[in-house]
Amino acid sequence: MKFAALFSSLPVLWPLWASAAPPPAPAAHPAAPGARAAPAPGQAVAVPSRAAPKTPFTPDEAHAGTLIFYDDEDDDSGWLAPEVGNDVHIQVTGMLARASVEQTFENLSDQVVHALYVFPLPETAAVDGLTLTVGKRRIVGEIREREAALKTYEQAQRQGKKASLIEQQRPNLFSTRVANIGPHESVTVELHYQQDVRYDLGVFSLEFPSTLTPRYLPGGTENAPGSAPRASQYGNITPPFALDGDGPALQMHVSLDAGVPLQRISSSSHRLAVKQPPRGPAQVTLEDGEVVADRDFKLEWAPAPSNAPTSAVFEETFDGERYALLMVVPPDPALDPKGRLPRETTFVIDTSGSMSGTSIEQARQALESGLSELDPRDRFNVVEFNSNATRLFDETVPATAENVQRARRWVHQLQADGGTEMLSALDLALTPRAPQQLLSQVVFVTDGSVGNESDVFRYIQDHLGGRRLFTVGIGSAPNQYFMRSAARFGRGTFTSVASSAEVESRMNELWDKLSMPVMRQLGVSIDGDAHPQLWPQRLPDLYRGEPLIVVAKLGAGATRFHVNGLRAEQPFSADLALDTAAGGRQERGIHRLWARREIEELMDRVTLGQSEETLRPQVTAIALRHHLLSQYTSLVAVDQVRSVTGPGADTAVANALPAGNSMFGNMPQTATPAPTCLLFGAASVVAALVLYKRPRPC
Amino acid sequence: MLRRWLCLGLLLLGLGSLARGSWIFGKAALAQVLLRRAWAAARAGDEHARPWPWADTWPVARLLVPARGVDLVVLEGATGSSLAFGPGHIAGSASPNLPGNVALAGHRDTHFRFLQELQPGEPLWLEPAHGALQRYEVESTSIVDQRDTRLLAAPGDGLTLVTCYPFDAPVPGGPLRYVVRARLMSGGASPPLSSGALALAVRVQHTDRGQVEIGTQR
Repeated sequence: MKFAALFSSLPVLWPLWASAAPPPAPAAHPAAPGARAAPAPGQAVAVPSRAAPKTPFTPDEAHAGTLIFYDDEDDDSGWLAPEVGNDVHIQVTGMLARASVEQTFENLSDQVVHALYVFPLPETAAVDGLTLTVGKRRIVGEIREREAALKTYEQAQRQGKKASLIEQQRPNLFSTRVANIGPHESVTVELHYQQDVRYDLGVFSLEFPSTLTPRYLPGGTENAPGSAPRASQYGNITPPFALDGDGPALQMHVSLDAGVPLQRISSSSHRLAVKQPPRGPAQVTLEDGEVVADRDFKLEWAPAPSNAPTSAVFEETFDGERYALLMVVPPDPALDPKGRLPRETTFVIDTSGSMSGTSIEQARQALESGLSELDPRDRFNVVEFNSNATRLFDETVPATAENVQRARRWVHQLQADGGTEMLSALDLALTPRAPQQLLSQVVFVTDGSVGNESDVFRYIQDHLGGRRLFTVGIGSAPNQYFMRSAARFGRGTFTSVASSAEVESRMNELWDKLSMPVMRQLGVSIDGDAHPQLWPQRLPDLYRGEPLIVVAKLGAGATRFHVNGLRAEQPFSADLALDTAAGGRQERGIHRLWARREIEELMDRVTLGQSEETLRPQVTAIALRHHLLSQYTSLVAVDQVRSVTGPGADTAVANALPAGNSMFGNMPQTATPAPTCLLFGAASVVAALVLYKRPRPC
Repeated sequence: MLRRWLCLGLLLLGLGSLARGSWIFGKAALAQVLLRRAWAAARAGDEHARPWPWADTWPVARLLVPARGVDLVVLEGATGSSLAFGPGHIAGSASPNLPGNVALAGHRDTHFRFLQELQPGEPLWLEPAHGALQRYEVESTSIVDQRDTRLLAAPGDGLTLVTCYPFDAPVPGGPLRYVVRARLMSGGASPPLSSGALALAVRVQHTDRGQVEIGTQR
């Protein structure tokens, strides 16, 4: 243990050994295994040619910290970056939320500029609309295949027309380019998307990520021979960050129609102003009005308590086809300590550099709360990982007071430093064989700042066995797409912890949940539809306080949903008629939810090894039909009027940094105790010698 | 007997303390030598030339003050882990190869100890990993509270160097920072070569744009 800690604090020694090794070694350990492979010493240096830029500006060039790009011809005259405002309207209906985000770009300079703004959206978001407002004109965007959209955009830019292109960099990361903004002109981009509401432990919740976690791309990942460098696969994902308090502003308006009587509406991230009219949806805004977009917006609402299980089916017809959303919420079982099943828990904690600051403290708190939950009948282990992974015990050990105390001490001294080699940690957590008689669980505490997401998902899928993997997101802006997908591949759930104040309550909810699987072996069938198309295809176990949510594409004769499974180890079943359930209310947007899930399912197959080329036409067809943004489709809107003359300069608009990240707020800590150590050390040695030499008194 | 144990304890404590202090200095100096290799890779076009495989950082620039024998490889990010090895580029400030204010932080005991000697008008050079060498001139020095980040966001093209203050405070972690502001000078002159101050020979090349590029050769 001591050694591992020592090595991680002595990284400088490693290259020394590498260069002292026999000749082949330096080639095997490239001096700089960055995102791109480094040339071996002595070889001709081949500069990796950046793909010929199709547009004058890519986020790849807008490296972290980039605020302004100048025009080459005009080096000396400086100009300010356009200001950006975010105005968000969200309409909640039952389990679906439709949002419109309005972004305003303003060119404060006397030059023609192009802007790039990379922005995150909720990871379950399905984008379906784009409207561009320039002065009094409104231009509505169309979904095109990605390359076609890019071509249209470039052509417009060349011709001096206004154009906006929204691309999906990652499933939850989008970017907007705004071309040819004239001097002192403002352009408004309006984006529409849809997401599903979360329901957990009797609470509905919704999040709007308003800033990004800087992401880490592991350097040690091997390149297959002949394959493209990894950096190009990961794409353009790190936007520039602004300094404290100087980022895009955020305004939030939520219209909340939960469909059930509500007990409370609250937010852990922002102060709310709630207006509840006697009839109709509640109106929620930020009490402070406009705020800096430096943290995720979180909204929670809880229905009035009820003893009966709630279930609902919403139906929708789109393009001649029927779609349905099924929701079953099991009643909360009373907590019974005797009913607790002994389990084997492996805690995995991310101690990489991106976790430094408040994040690592929250993670330690979360782990300590987990350790205190253990019962002597349980077995457990702890794994930490940064640049490499270390486990506390060689295999899981009984949770005796002594072992738990040892783990507590170990967790207490963990520091955040180094890379994010998640695979080695999973390797340690998932390689030991899970004992059959125990409920085996892996609890993964991280901020998800990792670039090789697909590798991690595949590893989980292949090595999970009979276990469940639960992710715990730490920090003010964790990578939610990663967290949720990892939990899905791990057949577990995702818990988000936004602040230190939340750690205890959120983690306790998770531990309660982990000790109580409420429903298992679930199945759904539809009367009048022999081959129902359902998502998810593999229904997860329901832990305490989780609903069953199924999206379906219905056959023409479908009349009734039939749900069965084991509840508290007893057979359970429920019937839901399609036309009458939940008042048979018409719900808009279910077909998009279905399409989005269908695409996700297809993309999972790519992750798990199927060739992307065979699935691409299917994904593209679904996206075009349901008017969805995806990996292969883009939204593009082009103004038909040529509006500006003269060359454009590019500017990247900085994002606000996540709150609590050590990169802003204060200046860095730049003092070491070295001189004091030397002085104190020398004084002590001298004192010791003097004391020793002094003749004895007698 | 008691005194002998006391002596021994005091001696061990002293040696341990000496070792810890020397280690911090040693690591700071050694890392800069090792970073040269990553710097060469960065200049050759590798955008994230990690100096060792598990590093969370990479060289982004080289800071030169030939008159004071200063030649430092600057790393990305001013986190505790990167600052142990070299000055760090403060995330959120302009990248070294781009217009705007470039802010760098360094330890007052090691890399940035020379800041206390800098005088207004003194020239500094910054060589970005991707881009041409740039000449700056010290404009002012000031002492600010660590929460006052206005200087980091200062307008115009500049270089801001930050370190802890006071330079000889016995206990680290104080709230004050010593900040050096430098202004970008257009049309840079070539840096004077000091005898033996630079470990590497410096080859100066005038480019067609009137700017200066330094290449390194063994």
